[in-house]
Formats: sequence, structure tokens, C-alpha cells
Amino acid sequence: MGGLVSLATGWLARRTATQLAAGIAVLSALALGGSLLVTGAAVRLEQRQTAALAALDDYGEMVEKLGVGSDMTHGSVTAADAIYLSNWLEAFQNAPGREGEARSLEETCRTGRGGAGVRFIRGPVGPPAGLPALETVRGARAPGLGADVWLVRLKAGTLCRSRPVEAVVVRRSVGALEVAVGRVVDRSGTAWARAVAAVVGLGVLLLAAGLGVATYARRRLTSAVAEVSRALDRAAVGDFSVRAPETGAAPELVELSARVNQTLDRLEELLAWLRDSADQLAHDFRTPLARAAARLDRLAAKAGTPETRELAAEARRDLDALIRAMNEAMALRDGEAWSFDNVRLDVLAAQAVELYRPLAEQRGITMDLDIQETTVLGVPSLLQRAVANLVDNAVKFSPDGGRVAVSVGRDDRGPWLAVADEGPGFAGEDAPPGDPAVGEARESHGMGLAFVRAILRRHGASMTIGDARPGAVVTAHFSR
Amino acid sequence: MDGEAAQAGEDPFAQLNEVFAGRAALLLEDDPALSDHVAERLVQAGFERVDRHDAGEGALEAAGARPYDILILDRLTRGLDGLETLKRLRASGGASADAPALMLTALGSERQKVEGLLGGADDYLAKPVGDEELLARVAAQLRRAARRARPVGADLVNGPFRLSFGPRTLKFEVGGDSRLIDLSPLEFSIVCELMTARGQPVTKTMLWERCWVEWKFLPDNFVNIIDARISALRRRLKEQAPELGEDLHPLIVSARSQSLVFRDLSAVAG
Repeated sequence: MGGLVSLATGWLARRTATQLAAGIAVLSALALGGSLLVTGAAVRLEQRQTAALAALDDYGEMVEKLGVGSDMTHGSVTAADAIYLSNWLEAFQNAPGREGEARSLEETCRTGRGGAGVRFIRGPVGPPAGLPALETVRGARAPGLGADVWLVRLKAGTLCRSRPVEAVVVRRSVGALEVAVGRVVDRSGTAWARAVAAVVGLGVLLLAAGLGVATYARRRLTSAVAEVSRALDRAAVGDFSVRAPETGAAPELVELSARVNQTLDRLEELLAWLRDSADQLAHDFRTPLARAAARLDRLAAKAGTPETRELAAEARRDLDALIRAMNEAMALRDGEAWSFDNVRLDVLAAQAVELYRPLAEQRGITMDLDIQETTVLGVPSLLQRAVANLVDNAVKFSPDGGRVAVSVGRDDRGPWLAVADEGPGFAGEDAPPGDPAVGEARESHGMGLAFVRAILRRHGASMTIGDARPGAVVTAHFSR
Repeated sequence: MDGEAAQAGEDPFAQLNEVFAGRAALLLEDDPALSDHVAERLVQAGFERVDRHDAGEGALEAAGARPYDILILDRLTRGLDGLETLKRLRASGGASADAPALMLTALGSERQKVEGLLGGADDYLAKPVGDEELLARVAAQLRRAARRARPVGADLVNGPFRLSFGPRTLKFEVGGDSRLIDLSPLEFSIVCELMTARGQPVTKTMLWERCWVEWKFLPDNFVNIIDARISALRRRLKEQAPELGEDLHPLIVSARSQSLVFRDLSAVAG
């Protein structure tokens, strides 16, 4: 039982709101159809009962008019009786405007509505009168409608030329006479027709309304979800100006939108703090650095001995390294470092190769460029730094007359940029991967790559340093 | 390397004394040590007076009252900050409203630089700045102010060389003969920057900012990059202007540790 429930809830969980609404609409249409059938059956029974009562009345009237007693038997009927009976039957069957009948036979056949009477009488002698089919087509006994009552279906061409009809017939023997008196059952009562029309109309209305409401709800939900997604997408690329709608959107999402906006507010606050604190840090660092640099310059200018001058110059270089490290740290935290844009990786690679080519040429290093148009999402200034640093590094580590290959492409994992050189690469060629010597070689090769790694991590990209004997290849793999 | 071998005969920085003589500067800087240092350097380099302020309001008042040849402004100062001071001064129409302004600040990111330039600054420097850089930048601003008086787009002539800004060409005219010097766009812009300085020094940082414009940062070894370019450029110029005496080559010479000068050839017959 529990398994069944979980199966049902599982199935329900996989259906969309529209599918569920359509399902409910179909179910209600089925229910309406069912009730229509039940109503139809009830109406039909009612019509048959009406016809049966009328037929029994007709029968009673006829027997009275016939005025024959139950004593009339085969033996007691004379030839004169037979002629009289035959004439009477003929007259009775064909007499127009018989009272008690709702409609004429002609009208019944034309409209399909019931009420017309049918009769058949066979005497002990002479030809029978009335509708012969009532004798040949027996039909089914319908004890529910009364004693000796039969339900007879007459095919098209039997009573009416163009349509089959159903009749309720009373079959009894009166003395030596076989009498069958019936009424055509009303095929489509007006009440029933109205019920059918109402139910069908209502069903169509329900289905349309159900689908309409479901579509509307779905649209509303979809567009609200799209709004929330847009706010998140913009935030992902550093733009916090868009917020998810909290009112006027789908009520299902109000709670979620509010939460999303709270998170975005908090994130924006944090980033603003980070930016402002970076500004403050820059000021707090740069002012003493500037003072120290000025004093060192002054010291160098006034230096009496070459040794002092050299010391001052060395201290100045240390300061420069400090300033560079600070600039890099600031570059990663600056406000603009949060707004992502589409960046052409291939253009950056071509620019970097162009930038370092004269330096490479001085040392006889060949630079190869193999690029395909490739776009990544990122901070343009940071990616420019990363690519330039990678190429710079490769040129720096290449032996004179070596070769540096820069390539950009895209595989099933995403866009990638690779810079290969013929530098020292890995120290121990046969060393196992876990060997600390290899790790050290990797580190030494990767000197100056820490900043590149930080930039790539900011972009959700990974950096791998692979073996490309003679040398190494640094590959940056982007995820988007 | 030939860059180091080719020192200018006379220190172009010493020659700046003439340019700076009689000039007045306004300095807004709230760190006393730095203020002392910058003022001292400017006076040493030839400035007649350096008016020092440590708050924006005072600087604004002074700049409105008398004309300065250059404004050197820190951004984070007491009271009114440097950028706001500059904005108000530019809008006020005071005596120094059009004076060239150099921001000298701790806020050194690309975004803040753009803010500064949009706010009316003519140059933007992140601290710390060496003496060489500071003087070359100040000289460049004074040159710019002087150039405003001259017609726009006129050719620049340096001895036999004629630089046309419109078509971006460099012509070599000697003995009634005129021929185009073949240069790449980058090489042309380097020559353009150096020749426009008319014998005054241009630091490599300035050259980087003006010629490598697509680069949004200063690479660690930009000096090596520029030196490699300059070596190639020197060779090209020598190949294409062999008529000049051997003693005039290279045409681009180094000045102090970080600057370059295009030789003044006005003495050579055009």
C-alpha cells in the first residue's frame, strides 16, 4: 500500500502543472460523459415506460371496441365473423386520427420522435391485419415494463423507410385472436437532447477553462522563473542592478524571489565592501610605499659610496616587487574585476604573441600561433594579464633558438588555451608522478604562474602543466 | 645592448630646467613627507614656485585666484578630495580652470584611472612615482599646454624628417629628394610620441600608455618589451636613412634609466 502511494506520488511529481490540469480536465469530461450515459439510460427507461403505458391503454381500448368475448374460439368463428373481423381490423389499422396517439406515423418516421401506434391482429380465419413485422420480429420480453410487454426493434424499411425505430408492444391473445398493440418509443426526447447539449457544452467549457488556466499559470510561473534566472545570471557576471520581482509575479515564487533578492543584496554588499576596502588598502599601502621610494631615491642621489648606491638600488627593487605583488592583489579585488564580458581568447593570444615576438626574436625563439575563434566569459583585463603572463613565462623559460607554441581551441570540455615551450619542463623524466622532485620542477616552472592560476580560478577555469618534451605545456581549460 | 650604449650627449632632464624656469605649480597632497619630496623635486628641476595644500578647499580657492602652469593633485585628501576639487575648478572658470592637471594618487586601478580622466585630469599616476617619471610627465603636460596655441594637424619637422599626423606618414627629405620611411603602425606611433616631445625625454611608461593602448596593464617586463621594439626601430631607421652620419645613429637615445629621446636634428640640413 505504502509502495503504491509512493509510486503515485512519484508519478505525480514528474508531471508538470499543465499535464495535471489537462488530466483533471479529461477526468471531468469523462465524468460528465458518464453522467450523460446514466441520464440517457434513465430517460430511455422513462420513454419506454411511457410508450408501454400508452400501448397497454391502446390495447384495452381496442379490446373494448372489438367487443369480442373471451369465448371466441376457432370453433365458434363463422365465415361471416371472419369477414367482419377482417374488415374491422383493416378499418382499425388504417383509420386516420385515432385519438390518444401523440403523433401520426408519418410524423414519427420524419422526425424520429415516438408516439405513433403499431398494431397487428391475426384472427382464427381470414388474413391478418396490421404490421406483419410485429409477428415475425419477436423482440425481447421486457418484464420491467409490464406483463406480456415486448421490446421490438424494427429495422429501417419495416415501419419507416429511412430509419430504424424501437417499439414497445403488448402481445396477448383475446379469445381466438392474436393481438399485438404497440407504440414507437420516443427516440430523442427534447429533455434528453437539452441535457446532452448542456453537458457537452459544460464539458467543452470545463476543458477549455482548465487548459486556459493551466496555460496561464504555467506562463506566469515560467516568466517569473525567467525573471529570477535573469537576475541570477546578471549577478553571475557581476551586474547587481537586476532583482527578481517580488510582487506581481507568480505567488508560488514570492518566497523564493524574496530569498534570492536577499542573497543578491548581501552579495552586492560584500562586493562593495571588498572594493571599498581594497581602495582603502591601496591608500594605506601606497602612501608609505611612496614615502619609502622617495627616501630611497634621495638616499641613492646622496650616496657617498658605490656600495650604498647599490644597496639603495636593491632596496628599490624590493619595493618594486612589493608594489607589483600589491598591484596584482588589487587587480583581483578591484570593482571591475567582477563584471564579466564575452572575451575573444584567440584575439588575446594573438595580441600576446605579437607583444612578446620582438623579445623572442632577440633570442632566436620562434613563436607559433594556432588559433580558432573562441569566446569565453570573463573579465577582459584579467584574462589579458593571464594570457600575457603565460606567453611571457614561456618565452622566459625557452632556451635560445627554441620554439613557443600558443594555441586556442575548443573541445567537448570547453574552450582552452595552451602555451608550450621547450624550457626545462620536468626534471626527472622517469620519476613517478608522486615524486617530490617532479612537484618541485613543476613549481619552479610555474614561478610567476600563481597570479595566472588565481585569475583562472576566478573564471572557473583550471590550469594544468603538462609534459611536452622537450619542455612543458601550460593549458588553461575554461568551463564557459 | 645598443640601448644602453646610446646615451644622449647631454642629460635631457637637465635641459628641462629651462622649460620649468619661472613656472608655478599647485600641489595638493596631505602626506607631509610626500608633499615635501615632490615640492623639493619640482623646485630643484627649475620651478619658480610650488604652492602646497593639504585640503581640497584651500587648493580650490588658490587655483581660482591665480593661474598655475600645472596642478598636481592627490585624490584622497582632507576635506574636499582631489577629484572633486578638480571638477569644481574646471566648472568654476577660475584663473586656473584650464590648467593641465596631473592626478598623483594611491587609487591606481584602471577603473579609478578612467574616473580621474573623465573628471578632468590630463594624466593619472599611481603612487609611488619616481622622480624621473614625475618630471617627464610634468614636462609633457607643459608641452601639451604650449601646443594648444599651434594649429592642429600641422606637420612636425625635425631636421630631414617630416611627420604628417593626418596621413600618418614619416618622410625623409634630403637634397631635394623626399621618400617615405616604411614603419609599422606601432613603430609610427612610437616615433610620433618621441618626436612630438621635441628633444624632451619620454619615459617608457608614458610610451607604453600611449602606444600599447590595447594593453590595460603594465607587464612586469614592459621595459624589455619596449627595448626590443626600440632596437628594431633603430635598425629600421638606420637602414632607411643612411645619409645621416654614423654619429647621429641611433636616432632614438636613452635618457637616465627609464626614458627615451628622439635626437634633435634641427642642426642637420633638411
